[in-house]
Amino acid sequence: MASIGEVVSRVRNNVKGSKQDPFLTDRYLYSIILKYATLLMRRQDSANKLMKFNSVFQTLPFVELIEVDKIEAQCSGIKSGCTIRRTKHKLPNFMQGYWGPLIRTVSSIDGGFELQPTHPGTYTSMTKTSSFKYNTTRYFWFLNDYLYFPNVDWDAVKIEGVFEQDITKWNCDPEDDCDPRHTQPFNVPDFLFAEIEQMVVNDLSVNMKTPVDPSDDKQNILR
Amino acid sequence: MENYTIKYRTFDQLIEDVSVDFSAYALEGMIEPQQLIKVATRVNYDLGLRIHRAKEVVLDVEHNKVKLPNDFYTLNFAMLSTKFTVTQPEIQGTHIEEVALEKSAVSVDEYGCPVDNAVCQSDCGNYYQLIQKFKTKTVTHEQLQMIRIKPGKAVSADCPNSNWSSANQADIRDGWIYTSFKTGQLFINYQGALENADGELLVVDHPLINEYYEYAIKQRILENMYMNGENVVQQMNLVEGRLRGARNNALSLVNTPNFGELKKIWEMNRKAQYHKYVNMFKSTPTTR
Repeated sequence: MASIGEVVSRVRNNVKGSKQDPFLTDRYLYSIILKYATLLMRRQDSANKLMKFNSVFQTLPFVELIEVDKIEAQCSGIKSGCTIRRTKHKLPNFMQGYWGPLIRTVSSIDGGFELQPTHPGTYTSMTKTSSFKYNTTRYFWFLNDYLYFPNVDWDAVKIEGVFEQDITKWNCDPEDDCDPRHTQPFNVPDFLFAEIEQMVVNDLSVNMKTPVDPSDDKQNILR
Repeated sequence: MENYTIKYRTFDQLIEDVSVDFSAYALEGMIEPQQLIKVATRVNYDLGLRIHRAKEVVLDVEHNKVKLPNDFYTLNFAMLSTKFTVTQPEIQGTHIEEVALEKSAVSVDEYGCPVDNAVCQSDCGNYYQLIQKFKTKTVTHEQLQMIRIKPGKAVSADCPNSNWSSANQADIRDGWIYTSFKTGQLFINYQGALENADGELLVVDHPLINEYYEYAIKQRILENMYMNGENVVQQMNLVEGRLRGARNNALSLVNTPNFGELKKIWEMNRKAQYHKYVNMFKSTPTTR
């Protein structure tokens, strides 16, 4: 998987940009690359062709949970006796797919039990059905950058997803905490780079085009 | 298919099987168990009562009522124990046992039925008696009486209690049996709901019947995906065809009589033929 620095430098070469150009910073290039990468990732997700690419998914192996009120979880319709937990801290930004944040798995920390994504309203409706007593599935939903878990009494979960932000503080590995962002991997499948680069170059070409001289300026001064 | 030949697995195991087949859809979160429970229960219903497990229990009636077991589905028959002996003091725990009796030890009438009404005869012609064993006591039920039970949804169509006349009557409502007698020991034989001890939904586990469950579930998954705007028309057409075939196979397997049932039919037929052609000459002595 290419690093962010490599991807940015590749695009910079394509537009024949120079590192010293104050209007073409790495940060600006990366923001445009990310804009198109998100668009293409969403397209791939809508075609159900993304979740099998292991290389783009990153893991948060231990995300702490705390117990919260069901009103906060937007689940006031659930009858009493249901405990709701949520992640202790807001999660790093996920890249958005067709159906929402690109989360592949949420499971117990040993990976033994997988949870199923849902929405607060859907879960409330589910609990009111007569067949819900047979449902042994554990659920979660994403709300305000937190994950919420009804009827789960675990202290932590493991989350696998595609993140836009730096997750080095979340991965329980202190060694990479000081890695600069540009050395970190760019979590987009390689086969999308061709399209991304083309889109970015098209985008930049509008801004970087040398302005055409007005007709007066075109006149030869020696005429 | 008789109860003792059936194996069951949980609904979760069935979903795992389908998830393995539809691994891509499972990864995309397209398989939502809550949407599929009703499909499994519908298939269970479609396969009929023959896939249910027959269970027995002795209930203590108090204040003219008793709660039915949690896994009660329909009643096969019920009998009131009017005489029983207790051999040891009670502390806790129970289990019921049907003790097989020696054929020679059972006195039978001219039709082969036991004279003592505490003794029952099984389909195979063996005799057994209802003995309830607790950890520290044993209750031997010596006299069992049929009671009348009001026909209803919770009573199977061929339940003999529905056509029985008796002063002791009962009615099944909202998971309870309401009786005309204040207290007593009521022995019931019922078809259990398809649930295990943990309350999990059970489905039949048989190579031919599994296909029916799986295709029914796959069909619903694809149907829901189609409703969500996915282009799965081809897959749906394929599964629809397979489902039809799998359903026919499963139903024909479930409804095929087993050896015991065929034997019973044969015996009934022999009895009928005997009555029709031989019985009329019974008074005429045969010369040998």
